[in-house]
Amino acid sequence: MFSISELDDLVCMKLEPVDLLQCIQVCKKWADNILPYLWRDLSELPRSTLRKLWMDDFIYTLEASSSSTNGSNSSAFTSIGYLTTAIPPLTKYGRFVQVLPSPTNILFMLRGDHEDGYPSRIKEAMSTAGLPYSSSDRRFLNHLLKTRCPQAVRNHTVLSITAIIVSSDYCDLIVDCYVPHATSITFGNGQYGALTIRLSLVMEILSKCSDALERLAFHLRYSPERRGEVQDDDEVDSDSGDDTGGQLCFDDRAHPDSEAGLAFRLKSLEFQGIGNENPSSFRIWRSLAPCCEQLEHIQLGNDPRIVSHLIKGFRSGLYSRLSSITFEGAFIASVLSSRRRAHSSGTDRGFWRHLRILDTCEYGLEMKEALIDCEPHLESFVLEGFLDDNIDSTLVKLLAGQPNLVQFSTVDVMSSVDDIFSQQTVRATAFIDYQDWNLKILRPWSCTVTLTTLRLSISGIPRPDRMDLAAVEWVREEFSGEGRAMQREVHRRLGTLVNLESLWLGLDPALSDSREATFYRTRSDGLEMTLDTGLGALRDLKRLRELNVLSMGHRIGVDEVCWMTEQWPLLHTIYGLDNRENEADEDQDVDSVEDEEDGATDVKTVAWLKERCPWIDASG
Amino acid sequence: MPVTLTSLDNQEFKVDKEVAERSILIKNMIEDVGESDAPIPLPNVSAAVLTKVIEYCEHHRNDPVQVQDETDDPRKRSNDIEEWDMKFMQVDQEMLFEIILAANYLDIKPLLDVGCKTVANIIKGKTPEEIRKAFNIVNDFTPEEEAQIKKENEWAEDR
Repeated sequence: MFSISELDDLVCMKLEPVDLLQCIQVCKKWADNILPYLWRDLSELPRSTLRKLWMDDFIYTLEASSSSTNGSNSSAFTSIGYLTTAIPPLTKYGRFVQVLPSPTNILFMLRGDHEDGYPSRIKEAMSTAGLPYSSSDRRFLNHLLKTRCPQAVRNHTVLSITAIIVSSDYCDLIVDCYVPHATSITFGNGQYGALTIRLSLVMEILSKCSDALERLAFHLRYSPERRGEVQDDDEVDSDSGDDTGGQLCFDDRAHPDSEAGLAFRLKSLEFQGIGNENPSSFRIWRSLAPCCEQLEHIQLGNDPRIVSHLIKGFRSGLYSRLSSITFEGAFIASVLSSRRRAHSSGTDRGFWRHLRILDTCEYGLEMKEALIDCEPHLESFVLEGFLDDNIDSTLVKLLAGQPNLVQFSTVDVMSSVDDIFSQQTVRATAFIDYQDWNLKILRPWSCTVTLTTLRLSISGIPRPDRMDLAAVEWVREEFSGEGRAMQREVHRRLGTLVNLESLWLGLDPALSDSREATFYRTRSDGLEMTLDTGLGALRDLKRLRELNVLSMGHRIGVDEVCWMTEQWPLLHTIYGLDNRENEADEDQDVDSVEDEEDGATDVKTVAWLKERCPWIDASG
Repeated sequence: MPVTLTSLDNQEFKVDKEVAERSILIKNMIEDVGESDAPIPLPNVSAAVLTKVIEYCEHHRNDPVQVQDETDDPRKRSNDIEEWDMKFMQVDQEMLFEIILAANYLDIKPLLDVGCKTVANIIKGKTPEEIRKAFNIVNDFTPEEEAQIKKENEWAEDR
C-alpha cells in the first residue's frame, strides 16, 4: 500500500486476519508487505492450528534431514518463493514470527495422544531418518523454534511462567527458547494453585538467564497444607525423586549447585505470597542476594528471614541504589530486631526513601513503631490499613523528624471490607504536638517546607455535650470551650505546612460509596474546618490545589468557601462539600430538622462555588 | 500568534500557532527555533494537501491530547470515525494517501489514525479482486501462485 512499512502496519492493525488473507492475494507487492505482519504474532492461534503448522514443519525437516538436505536452515528461505509448494508455511514464513506461542501451547503440541494422524506420520518420518522415535521430541522442536523463528526467540524479553505445573519438559523448553533474552521473568500470577515448581528448576532457569535480566518477580500463593498433593501425575517427573508433589510454591528437596554464577544484576525484585513457612523462599533469596547490588525496587513478602537479611545488608551499605521498598504482611517482626541491632552497632549507612506499609493489622505495636521510626531520609510515607490506636504519637514523630518528607498519607484503602473501624487516625492532641504545653508553643517540624501532600484523619476532638448525637466516636468536653480551643490549635499546626498542595482530612472519595463511609458519617470527634474554629490559620497555604473534607461530619458554608478561594489562589478541587447523598438514608430520627438545614447549606455552598469559581471542581 | 507554513510548491499559509501545533513536527520546530516570523518550510507537502491538513487541524484545534488505550483491540476501532472526519476523508484515493503520508511526516497522530482507518474500511470484507479494483492494482500472480499463497495462509482464518 505505502512505501513506508509502518503505515502498512497501521492499516493492517485495523484489519481482521481474514481481511489480511485477502490482501496478500492482491498482488506480490502487497503479499511481500503484509505477510510479515500476518505472521508476526502466533501467540493467540488455536492449538490445533498451531500444531498443524508446527508438525508439518517437523515432518518436512525430518524428511529433509533423511535426504541429506538441510531443511532446518531458515536462511534458505530469505525470499518468498510463491510456487515452492513442497515447503511448509512455517519453514517459509517462520522468520517473520516475532511472538511465539506460549510454552504451554508448545508443549501441548508435543503430546503423543493427539488423534490427528501426526503421531504416526512423525513415527514414520523419524524411522526413515534413522532416528529413534519419540512422541514428544522436545529437543528437535526446540531446535525448530530457534531456527525457524529466530526473531521471536530474540524478542522474547518478558516471560511469565504461569503453567499449573512447571515440569522439566516445560523448563527445558523455556530455558532454550524463552529465557536467554529475557529482561523480565515472573513466576506465577498470584492465584491459588497457579504454579508448582521445583526449586531446582527455578535455579536452572535463573542460571540460564543472561545479563539482560533486570526484573524478577515471584507472585505465588504458598499453602503448606497443600504440600504433598499431586495435581497431575502425567506432568510431574516423579522418576527423579524430587517431584513437586502438587505444592503451590517451590520445594527445596533438590536444591542444585547452580546458584553460583548468576549472570544478571537485578533492578527490581518482587516476592509476593511466598509464604514464611516455605522452606525454599529464604534459600532462593540467598541465591539472589549477590545479584541485587543494583537493586532499585524490592517488594517483600511475608518471610521474616528475607526481610532481616535484606535489612542487614542494607544497613551495612549494600543495595545502595535501593530507593523503593514495599512491605507486605507478617514479616515486620523481623524488622524490629534487625533495626535495633543496626542502630546500636552504628552501622546503619542505608536509609529508606519511600516507605509503604500494607495490611499490618495483626502485628505488635513495638514492631510497628520500630518500622516507622526511620532515619530522617524519608520522602514518602504511605500507610494502608490500620496500625494501632496508640501509634499516633509515633506517626507524628515521623512527621516532625523528616526534613525531606514530601508525602505523608494514612488515609488510604482499608484492609478489609468488614473492618470498618480500621482507619488509622491521629488524635488531635498528638497532631498539635506542643513543645511546651504550658506556653502552647508548637514543636518545630522538619518537613514544614518539603511536605506537599498530607492525607490524615484527625480525631479525638471533644464536642459540647449533645446527648442526641448518634456518633460512634464521641469525646465529651471536660470544660466548656475545650473542643473549640483544640480545633484552633490543630488549624495552627496545619498552617505551618506552608507548601501543602494536597490536603486530605476526609475520607478517600474512592471509598465514599462503601460500607466504610458509614463509620465516617457517624464520627463526631473530627476536625471542623470553619472560620469559627480557626480556618484562618491556614492563610499561608498559598500552593494548596486540592482539599478533601469528605464525610468529616460537619459542613463547610459559603463563608468558608469564599475565604478559601480568596486565600488559596491555586485551589482547583474540593472533595466532599456536598454530603447530602451520604446523609440521606441515615439517622433520620436523630435530628431531621438539622439535617435538612445542613443539606440546604451544602446546596448553597456548592451553588455559590459553581457560580463564582466555575474552575473549581466540587463535584466529588 | 499566527505561524507561516510554506508548502512544497512555495505557497504560504498563515495559521494560528495552536492550529499549527497539532503537528508535533511543527510544534517541535517552533520550540527549537523560538518566537520567529520566519516561515516554516514543509518540503514534503503540496499546497493542496496542506490545505486539507490545515482544515483538519482547524476543526480539531481544541481536541484534548489523544491517549491511546493499549488494552483496546485495534481491529475493533476502525468503525469509530467521527462523522465530520468521515466526510473530511471523502476524497479521491490519491488525495487520501497523500493526506496519510503528510500526517505521518507532520506527526499528526489523530489524522494518521483516521486516514488508516479509512483505508482499512475500504479493504474490509472485499475479495482480492474487489480490492484490486478499489485500488486499481494489477494482479501479477499466476492462478497457481495465488492459490498457493492462499493455501499456505489459510490458517489465518482460524484466528
